[in-house]
Amino acid sequence: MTATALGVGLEGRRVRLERMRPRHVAELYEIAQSPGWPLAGAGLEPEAFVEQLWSASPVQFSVLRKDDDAVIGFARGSKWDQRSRTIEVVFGLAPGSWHMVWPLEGIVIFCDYLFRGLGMRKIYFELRPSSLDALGSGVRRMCTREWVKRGDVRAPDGTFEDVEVWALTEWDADLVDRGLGRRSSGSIAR
Amino acid sequence: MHSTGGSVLPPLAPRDVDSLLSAWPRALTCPAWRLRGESPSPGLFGEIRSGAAHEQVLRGDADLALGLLQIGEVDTTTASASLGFLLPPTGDATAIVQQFLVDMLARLALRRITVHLDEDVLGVLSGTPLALHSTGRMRGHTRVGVGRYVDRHIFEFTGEVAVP
Repeated sequence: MTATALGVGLEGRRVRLERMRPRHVAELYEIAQSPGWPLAGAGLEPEAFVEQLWSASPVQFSVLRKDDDAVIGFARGSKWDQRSRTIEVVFGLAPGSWHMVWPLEGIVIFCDYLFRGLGMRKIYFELRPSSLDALGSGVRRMCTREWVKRGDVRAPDGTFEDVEVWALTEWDADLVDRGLGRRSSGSIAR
Repeated sequence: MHSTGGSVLPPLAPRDVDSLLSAWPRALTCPAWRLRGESPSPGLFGEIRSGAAHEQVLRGDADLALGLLQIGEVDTTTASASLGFLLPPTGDATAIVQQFLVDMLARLALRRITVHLDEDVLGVLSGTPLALHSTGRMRGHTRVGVGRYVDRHIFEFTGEVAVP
């Protein structure tokens, strides 16, 4: 039987979401140490990682492969504004999943949960141009760029990199349906 | 209207806190100070205030606090920070706000100060000679009433003055 949360299915074709649990932490910690991740080289101890993980967000899921139950990443909501019904999506995937399309299904399922389950109206993604490139055309196709934080983060070579803020609104729910390979379930905009 | 402080969270007298708490629901605010339906309380006031690194108090004729200007989210890596404000709805504070931006940029050796303005408070810096570069516009971001949402505009101040 397909797992659901607040009436929203949490399974896709190749991945599923599970509410983040202590048994996922070891795999997430290993992923977080991978080159390219913000935590790589930060020397974060497992205990500090766990503390950071649980305090980071009130809504977070692990992304698991359906074929072998391996944890390949996470998706969480941040800066949740319940009055304006906006939230920012933060996600991370194991390096082995970068440049592949299918693991991103987990992020689309999470967006579906935010729109239909939590009733969010607008979802934001903050991404560096290099991350955008790694994600392929998906974000550029589905979302609208609304803000460029110029020189917001320091790159490994000491230069400053932009961070782009992309938005997905409830009016775009059809794109989420399409991303999950299902027929349009109609606009959820109120 | 004049201002005092400009230092790390200057102490506020109880009568100033009372004055600001009663002015808050009608004040022009940055996103951090938006009440979002909450009742203004000393606890919430202290919580939001403690997020600032620098603060200046706007005072009226009787030397009573009318508003606050703040610098928060200071990032020493990128030498950037953001402006916070709780301003009285009447009386033009533009000159005080722009002087605060200029002072803080120099004093804290910042490269830029980011200013977030929801559509309904855009007038706070209208007519300023400071060059505010628009870097973003989050459409329909902020709920301001039943079924009413306004855009949030994001500007950067890097120390330049606009050429007329």
